[in-house]
Amino acid sequence: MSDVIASANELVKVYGEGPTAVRALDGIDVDLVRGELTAVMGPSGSGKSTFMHCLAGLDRPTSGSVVVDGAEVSRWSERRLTQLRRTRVGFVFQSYNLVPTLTALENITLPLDIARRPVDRSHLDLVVRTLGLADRLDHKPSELSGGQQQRVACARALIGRPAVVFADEPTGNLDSASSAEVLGFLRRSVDELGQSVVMVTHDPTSAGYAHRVLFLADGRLIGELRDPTPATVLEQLGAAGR
Amino acid sequence: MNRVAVRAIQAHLVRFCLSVLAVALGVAFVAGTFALRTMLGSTFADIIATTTLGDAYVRGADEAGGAAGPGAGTHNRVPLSLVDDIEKVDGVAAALPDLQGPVVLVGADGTAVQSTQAPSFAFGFDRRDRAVHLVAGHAPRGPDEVVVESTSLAASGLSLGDDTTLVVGGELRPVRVVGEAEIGAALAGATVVFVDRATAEAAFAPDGTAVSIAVNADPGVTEQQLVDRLAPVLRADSTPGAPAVAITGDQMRAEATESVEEVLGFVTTFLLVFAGVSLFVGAFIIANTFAMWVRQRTRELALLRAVGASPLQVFGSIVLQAALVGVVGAVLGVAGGLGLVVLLRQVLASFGMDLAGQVPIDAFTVVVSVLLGTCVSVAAAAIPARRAALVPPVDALRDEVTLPERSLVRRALVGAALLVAGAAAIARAMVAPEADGADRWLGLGACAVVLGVLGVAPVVARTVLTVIGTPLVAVRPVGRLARGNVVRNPRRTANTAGALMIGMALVGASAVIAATAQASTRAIVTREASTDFILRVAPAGTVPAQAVADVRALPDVRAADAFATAAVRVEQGDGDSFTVTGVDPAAIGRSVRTTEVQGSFRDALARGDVAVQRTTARDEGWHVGDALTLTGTGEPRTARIGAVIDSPAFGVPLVAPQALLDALVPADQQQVTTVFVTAVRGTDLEGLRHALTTTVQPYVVITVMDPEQFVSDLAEQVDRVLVILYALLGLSVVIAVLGIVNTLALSVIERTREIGLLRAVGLGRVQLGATITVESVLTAVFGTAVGLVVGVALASTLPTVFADKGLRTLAVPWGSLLVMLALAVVVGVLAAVWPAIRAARLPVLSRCPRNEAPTSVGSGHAPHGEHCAMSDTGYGDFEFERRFWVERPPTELLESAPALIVQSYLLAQDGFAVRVRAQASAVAGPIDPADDELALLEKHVRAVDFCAITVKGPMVEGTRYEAERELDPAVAVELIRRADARVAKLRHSVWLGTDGWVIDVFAGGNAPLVVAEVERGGPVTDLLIPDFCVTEVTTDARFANDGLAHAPYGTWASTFASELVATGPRFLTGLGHNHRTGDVPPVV
Repeated sequence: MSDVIASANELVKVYGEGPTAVRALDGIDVDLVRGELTAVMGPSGSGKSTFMHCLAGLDRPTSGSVVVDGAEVSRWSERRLTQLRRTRVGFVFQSYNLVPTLTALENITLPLDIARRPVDRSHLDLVVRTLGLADRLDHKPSELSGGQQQRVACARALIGRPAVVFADEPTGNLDSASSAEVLGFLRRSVDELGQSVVMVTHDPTSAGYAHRVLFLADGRLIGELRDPTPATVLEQLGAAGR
Repeated sequence: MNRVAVRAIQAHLVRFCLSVLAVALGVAFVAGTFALRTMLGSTFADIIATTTLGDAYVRGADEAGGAAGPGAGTHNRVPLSLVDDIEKVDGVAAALPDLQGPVVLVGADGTAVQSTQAPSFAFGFDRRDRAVHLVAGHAPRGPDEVVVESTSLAASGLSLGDDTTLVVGGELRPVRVVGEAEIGAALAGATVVFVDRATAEAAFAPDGTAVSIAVNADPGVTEQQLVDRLAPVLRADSTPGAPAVAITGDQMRAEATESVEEVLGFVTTFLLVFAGVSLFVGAFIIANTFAMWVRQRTRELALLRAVGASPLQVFGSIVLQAALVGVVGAVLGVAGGLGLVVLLRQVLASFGMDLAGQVPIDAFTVVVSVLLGTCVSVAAAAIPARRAALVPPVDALRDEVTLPERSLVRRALVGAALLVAGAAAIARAMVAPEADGADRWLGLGACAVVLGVLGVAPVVARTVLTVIGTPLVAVRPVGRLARGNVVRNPRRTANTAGALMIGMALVGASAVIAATAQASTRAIVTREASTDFILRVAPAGTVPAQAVADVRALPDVRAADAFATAAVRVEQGDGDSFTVTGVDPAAIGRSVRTTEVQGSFRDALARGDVAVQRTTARDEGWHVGDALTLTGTGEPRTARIGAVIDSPAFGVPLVAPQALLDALVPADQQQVTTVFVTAVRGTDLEGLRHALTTTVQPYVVITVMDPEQFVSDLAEQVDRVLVILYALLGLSVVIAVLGIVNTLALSVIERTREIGLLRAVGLGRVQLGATITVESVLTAVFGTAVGLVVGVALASTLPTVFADKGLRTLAVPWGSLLVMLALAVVVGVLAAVWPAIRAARLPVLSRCPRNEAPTSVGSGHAPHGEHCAMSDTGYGDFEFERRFWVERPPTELLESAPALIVQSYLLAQDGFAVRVRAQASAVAGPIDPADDELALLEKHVRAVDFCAITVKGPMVEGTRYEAERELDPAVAVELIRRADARVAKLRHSVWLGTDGWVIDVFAGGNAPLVVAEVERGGPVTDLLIPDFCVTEVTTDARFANDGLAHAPYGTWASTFASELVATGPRFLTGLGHNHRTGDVPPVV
């Protein structure tokens, strides 16, 4: 088992063709470490979301390669990518994470139902307890607060014991208290459950929860920071802005 | 995954109810057809089982022609002389010749006893006949006595001992009813009379032959033994030309059942075609429903893909939903279909047509119906399901997901190709209508054209609807909005209209065919008939020979030419049976004028030759001079073809001189439906009509008509068929109308926000309803117009292709077509009723977006209901409020723990404002009125629990643009600290009547101002204004919070007080009636 959970090599993503083409990613080389919470930061249009989509197999790079958990996924067929999403990757999105007609519990176990895998009761209990969702399991998403919804989304991402969880602005729609809950949980899942998490954010406070922050601008990796605090992140962003 | 599918259906049942209904209606038609078939089958099987009770039957050995009409045999007849020989055979209990024929029984009211179109028979009575049980009276003892079957007796109104008239063997006979008999089966309306054996023999077997002889065995003799014993006797007795064989009773019954099943098979196929059209139309509804469903759930589907669902699983989940819709619809449909048949049976029973048995519900009907409903539903949903499966998972990450509209080019190209191919096939059929398979080319071409039109419909829709809608654009804004809505999604509009199009194409084609048939009939009669009067009998009847003789005897009648028909087998060719008309050669040229293709028709008949119809001659390869071997019931005869004619009036392949037909088939077995009567020149026609009517009156069933009446009579028959066709097509039109309702209702759901915006900018409920109605009418008119054009165009080719069949004169019933177009408008209005009401009831602003709106879930749960309007699209960003200046706050209404609001305006100019607000919802401790805004904020900063930034537009008549986004309190407080133009107030919420009010008690620079504010989801009209409100300040910019921030009330309070004294209180007048509580008189 290598200690690299995901890596990008010469990653390039171009949208459109000809004069209107946009190079969203312009050659990114990076290794993400297993068992760490990695934050990806950058201004709007820096390519941080595209970077994550390519890493997660949601989008296909124009050139370069992506290796997730030892497998080069950038050349995979749609069928194998579906398998990847079922078994090795978990997602938390900024919004619309939950199927409105299913209860919280049904949403959490949805990936297992889809993959027709049995539910590991003890793991489910652990996840639900850790996220403080025990008394909310029978509620529909519309009966949950925004923070609770995101916690359900986190539980869903973790239930299948994926190799890596990708979170795209997971606190983008939350107030500071709910954000703290969700981020605290993501960090604990790394520290206590040994999970690997990659998170895209634009918020220095959120990035402060990470082990490592990658800074992107104009589709390139322009810097990184280990064991950040909101202040050091702001400082780095300020430096990048100049 | 399946749970997601099922749960989604449960949560949105209403959306699918019309799809379910569409399946249910189509399947009901199918199940009803099957059940009807089974019921009719069992009725006739009962009749066969209870009437065909012989253990063996003796009948002719050769297949032959014979009588046309009921009771006709398929084999040569057997001599009655066999009866005695058969009865001598050991083991034979009785030999009963089948002596039956058409009769007319005159009922108590002097008219013929006949229910619906069912025939009347007489049988020779024999006590030994196992099928007949005498229940009252005695057997007929002579020619003037009859026994009547129980149901027929009840229908006739006669009783035992009554005297009446029977038309039998072509003559009138006074008879007395002497008995009542039962046959153990429902007779499906047939009238049955028993006469004595001698009468029956004289009337139905004048040549001493019968169709068959039933043989009853002695006890202990099996059917096969009986047949074996009969065989040598029959061989020995064999008469030349009338060979006889014996078959078992089981075989006879099996043959009878088979021929009934064959007829029922035709009926079933005919009905299933219409059921198929209904299901096809229903499929459009389902396809549209699922297409819209997938569009609205794109994000959810993408999410499922992102968490590991494969495209196949997504496809499967949609297909599962479709299957659910199909199964539920089909089960309802089966129930409905059976109900329909129960109803039909009762209706028929009330007309005197008894049908046997319970309504059959068999596994076949249920399984086939449910499978069919499910398959149709799944097939219809397959394309939307495929689209759903192809939703990329990355779409779950996007805020606004819109599936790209697929290009219409491919569909249009396929449609155009089909259209061209169809037109080519039709052209081929029209160019060579005589060629083999011309009708098949026409059918294929018509199908291709209809499918092709469906294909190009979306492309055509844009243009056609733009044109049709042009006059409506004058009706602003309704017309333009409605036209825009139907044109904006041409695929959906075309699919919705397509369902109606199919139904209307068939309706249009039927109307044209009917009109053409009527016009052709008129043309034929005018061209070919040169007669003064026509005698007609009801279908299944025959004009008695005696009646014809009586008419000929009238002094003013120059000639009465009867046209008798019978089936005759022709050896040449495939040995097929042909219908032959026998006519007096003198009639040609006297009462009929016929186009002669080759040879002289009259001369040919006079020579004893036959005349052949041009089409028959062509199909069979016969020419003038060929000899034909004709076989009727007796010996074969040879006749030469003397002429080829082209006569739709005769409408039969062969015309023979009457003498020849009589030689082939006994006169009593010929059917005479029409007699042409020519008057002596110069006769008073009205007088003759009277004389004719009097002459045929005793025969009850004969009608005297002049050619004009004859034509209308035939036209009426066509109309009756047309009514049946309309009724059968009606269901598919009803389903198509449901499709319009469905599409409109679903698009109302889809456009909830857009409709809210339109209402917010002032579109009234009535205008909204009118817009939807106009959309509906445009769709309905489009579908109907295209359908009628297609139907009329296709039907117009028929006179060219089917000229042979007598359809020669094209007639387009423009009046009826216009009526249908007008009906389309009515249909459109009706279809819009429910969706329009639904749309009008939508709240103007869905401030808390519906659960199903894609952006709603997960967009953050806001703790304060009034802040739900943080919508992402901007449609909901309006507020409706009115504000009033309060002199004395109603202390009894004020809360003990109001909310403290401190806000700062970053920009406030010309009514545009950007505001940052911090709110502490339950303020701890007393508030010092001396504190300024910032001091208040700092004192309560720990209690701040909600912050937001708000962008506002100018207030117009109590309506103002307002977009709000929640902020993190830490950030918001810092912003307020750094900005100026601050306002602080204590907000009390109170509920007064039906409205929520807030009473703001201002602090700091704005003390002692108190403003009462009411806010609603829509314009604040017809407001009940509490009496603590002194004057309205809604439109007074100074009282707007941004105004107060820059010019605090404290600095101009005295100015305002003097203004108020000078002008008095004011209230807005443009917002309906203002009602006041308390003693203050109403102020308009």
